[in-house]
Amino acid sequence: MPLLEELPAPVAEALEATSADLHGEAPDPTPLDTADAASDSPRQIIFETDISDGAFGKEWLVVRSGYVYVFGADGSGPAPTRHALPLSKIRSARAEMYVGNGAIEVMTDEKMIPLVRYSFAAAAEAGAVARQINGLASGEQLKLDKIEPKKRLCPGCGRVLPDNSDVCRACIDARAVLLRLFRFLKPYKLQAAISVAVIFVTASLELVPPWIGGRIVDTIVESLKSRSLQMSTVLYFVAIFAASRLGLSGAGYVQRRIHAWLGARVLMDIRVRVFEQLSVLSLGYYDKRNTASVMSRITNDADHLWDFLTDGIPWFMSTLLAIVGTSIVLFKMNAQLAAVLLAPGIFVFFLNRWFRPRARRRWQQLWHRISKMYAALGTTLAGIRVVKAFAQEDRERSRFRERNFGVFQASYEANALWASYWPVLGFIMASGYLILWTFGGYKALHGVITVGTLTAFSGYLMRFYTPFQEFSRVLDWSTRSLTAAERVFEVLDTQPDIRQPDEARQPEEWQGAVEFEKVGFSYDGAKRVLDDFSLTVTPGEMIGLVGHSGAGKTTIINLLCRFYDVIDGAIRVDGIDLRELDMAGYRHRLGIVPQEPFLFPGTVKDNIAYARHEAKVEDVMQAAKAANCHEFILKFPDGYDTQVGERGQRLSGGERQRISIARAILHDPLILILDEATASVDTETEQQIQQAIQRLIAHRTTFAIAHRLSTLRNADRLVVMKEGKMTELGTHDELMAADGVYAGLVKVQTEVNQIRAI
Amino acid sequence: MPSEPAGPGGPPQAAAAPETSSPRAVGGDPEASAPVGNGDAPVEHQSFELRWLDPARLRLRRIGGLARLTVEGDRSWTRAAPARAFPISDPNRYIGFLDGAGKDIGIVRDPAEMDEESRRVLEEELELRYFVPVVTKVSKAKIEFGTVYWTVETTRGPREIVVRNLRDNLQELSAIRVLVTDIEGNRFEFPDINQLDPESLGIILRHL
Repeated sequence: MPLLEELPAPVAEALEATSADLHGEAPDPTPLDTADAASDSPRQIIFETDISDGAFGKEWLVVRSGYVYVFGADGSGPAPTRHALPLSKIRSARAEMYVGNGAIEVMTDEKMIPLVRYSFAAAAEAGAVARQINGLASGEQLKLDKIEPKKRLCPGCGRVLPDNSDVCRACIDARAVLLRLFRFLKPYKLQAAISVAVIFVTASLELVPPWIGGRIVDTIVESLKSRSLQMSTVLYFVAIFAASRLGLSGAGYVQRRIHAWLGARVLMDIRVRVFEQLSVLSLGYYDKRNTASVMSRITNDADHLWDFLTDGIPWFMSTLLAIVGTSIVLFKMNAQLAAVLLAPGIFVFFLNRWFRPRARRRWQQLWHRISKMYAALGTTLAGIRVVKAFAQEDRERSRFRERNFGVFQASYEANALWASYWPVLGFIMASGYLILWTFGGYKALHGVITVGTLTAFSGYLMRFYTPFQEFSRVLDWSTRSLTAAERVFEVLDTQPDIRQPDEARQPEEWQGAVEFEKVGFSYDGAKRVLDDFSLTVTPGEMIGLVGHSGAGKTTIINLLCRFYDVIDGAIRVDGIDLRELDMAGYRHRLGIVPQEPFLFPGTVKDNIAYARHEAKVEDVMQAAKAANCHEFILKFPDGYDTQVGERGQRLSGGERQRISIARAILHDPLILILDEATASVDTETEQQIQQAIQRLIAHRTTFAIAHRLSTLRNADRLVVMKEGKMTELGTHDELMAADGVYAGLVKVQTEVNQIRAI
Repeated sequence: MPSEPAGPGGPPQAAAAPETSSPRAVGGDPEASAPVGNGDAPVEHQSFELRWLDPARLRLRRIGGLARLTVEGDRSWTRAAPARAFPISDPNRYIGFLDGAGKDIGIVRDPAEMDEESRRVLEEELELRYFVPVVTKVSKAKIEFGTVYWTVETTRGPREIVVRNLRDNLQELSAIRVLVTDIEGNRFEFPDINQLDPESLGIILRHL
């Protein structure tokens, strides 16, 4: 971690000496000149870099007591002081990224001084440090937010954690996860109990047929010896055999049905729980992960769990019972023989452990080569015009042949390994019979065991070895399932950052007054996207937000919607801090027309009434009319019953946008947010949308973002943002008169429009 | 929703709504729908409010082959095209009228209250606009390589229906009512799938 809390010992020594030199004998009592003693902001910065003198090595940059120090590492004793610059001399600081490394550079009045170099491992922190030095130099307070490291390590074992998840595969507490998984079975105790009972019954019944076989042989042998026919005894055993087979089939039937039901049911419960949790989580959770990885929690991970619960656990239990049961019976019949027969089983187990990872490597190679071949195929066919135009068919053909040959090779190697595995495995398992017939035959001839026992042994043998072969597969499988389970639990355990306050407040009367007070915010901790933003908006006022992308406009909107909580300052609606405000009540009074209108699968009517399902159709039509969409909806073959969204009617961008506006009109919000509502439509459509917006904003507090400044001509006041700060505030005329950033933007757009007109 | 005009259950706004200076941009196209009544004073309603047409004062007549809509004491449109706002969920109410240029004239809440002649012309116009045969009987159904072949009796006569990729061409209107789009884009309604032959029911259920 490049940002340290405490000074390393050699640096502390060096710092003491140096600052004593600078400040005279008595050290400066205030650690940081500009730090407010009462605030809880940090009082110093200690930045540890990983490059020194052009090679990997440590150096420290320390900011405190109005000075910026750089100390080198020099083995023992106090660290040599490289720089000691008073902040007052620094004009600006910046973190410049080069190739493979970067440097924090400060400008003084005379020259540029490179302070420290760093690798990418410290880049985010270096950026933050440079910004802080910049701020301190211009007399601001120190604000260091927590920075999310790119390389996240497992706190348990120090291994690198996977993207999008904090679950370390090496550190899973299998028992805890299993126990928790079983808790999902709790509502279905009866079914689970039946299932376990059936597995026991099956495992025991499976032991019966070989034993019966032995008994029948013994009976026949004895009958032959005593020359008295005992067909009735034979029939008696045959009856038991039949009964056990029948019992097995019945148990199998019950087991499959119960598992099918139980598995699907538990999977449903898990999916519902995960989805409910996902809908509760704040946007901050989704920022750090891509949608696909969040989706895979519900799809892939839950599927793994299903496999595990319906197939894995029952299979594991019955395999275990088969080994234990068979062993007991074999050892009971003849311990010596059983012990000898164990040897090939253990051999099979280890052969498998040796073989599986090797086979997997070959298959992975094969998949990799197949995907490379597909890639070659895809690019060639997609660029077939270019290939033909430049007459490169030969080259593409030979490239494809090459890739294809790679696939052939990998495929052959993978299958060749399998080819050698199965015969070896077959021989080892058969060697069990070798031992049995030799050793067992010897014993039978000497009358230690009966012929029937020998027969029974041979019947049990394969049942005895198969589990050894499959056991290592189960180990792989259970690791994967447990990881999936843990990832699912991770979602369930995540606490939303934004929570409904315990004592939610509501204003006595919702009016729509909004006040930003010194609001500061950062998404990642490294970069302040909003700083010291203050604005008081009266009910019904329309505020236009202007600025380049990344200036902080959308952040203001996100904070106002309370998708995130502010880091500094406060946002108040009708005098109440957003963090204390009843969230449901507030969001019912908040309406958004987003840049990308989102339509859900369903009818046009359902989409307009998305926020008010109970709305009457006449109100829906009225809202559509006000949003300039009644006419085009009426022209659809299915009118308001037209299906939109996935697989539905294709709507143009302007039509979608107007439906989205109709939704907001019907929602009738007190505070309205227009986020680039006219960004992606032509001028004529924009006019229609403009008219719709005009009707929408009446009597509502409105915040509008727009790149086309003409959209904002009706705004009561315009806020011009630059790099997270408000640079201008006023009406269109005032800002034009001031001839600042806004006036410049207007000028540029007017010129562009003139070019378009030509 | 206090800000909504024409609130739920409120009386239909009088057709001759108080005149306001409304933007011309979205008004009716004077060329295509020349006001016939009070010729020189085109009356325009506020274009962002739904205009409820009073069925008692509406006259729909066939003149020169076209359906002419007259709001008594207000104005006429030489060519008015009715369109159902909710053709599937509420086909008999909320009939909107568009003028010759496709601009919105207004909407009738319940056309049953119109006079008999108007209702007849409306029926004709709607019959022209909406041709969605309802399947009454399936005489043959088979599915082959994902393509469904139906031989059916409909309210508009017998027909062969060929549907490729039923999953994408099936619209569930309710739990029992479905709309099927055939390979050429024609649409057929199955009013109650439970009344269908077992073969057809099986084919449809597989795709719901």
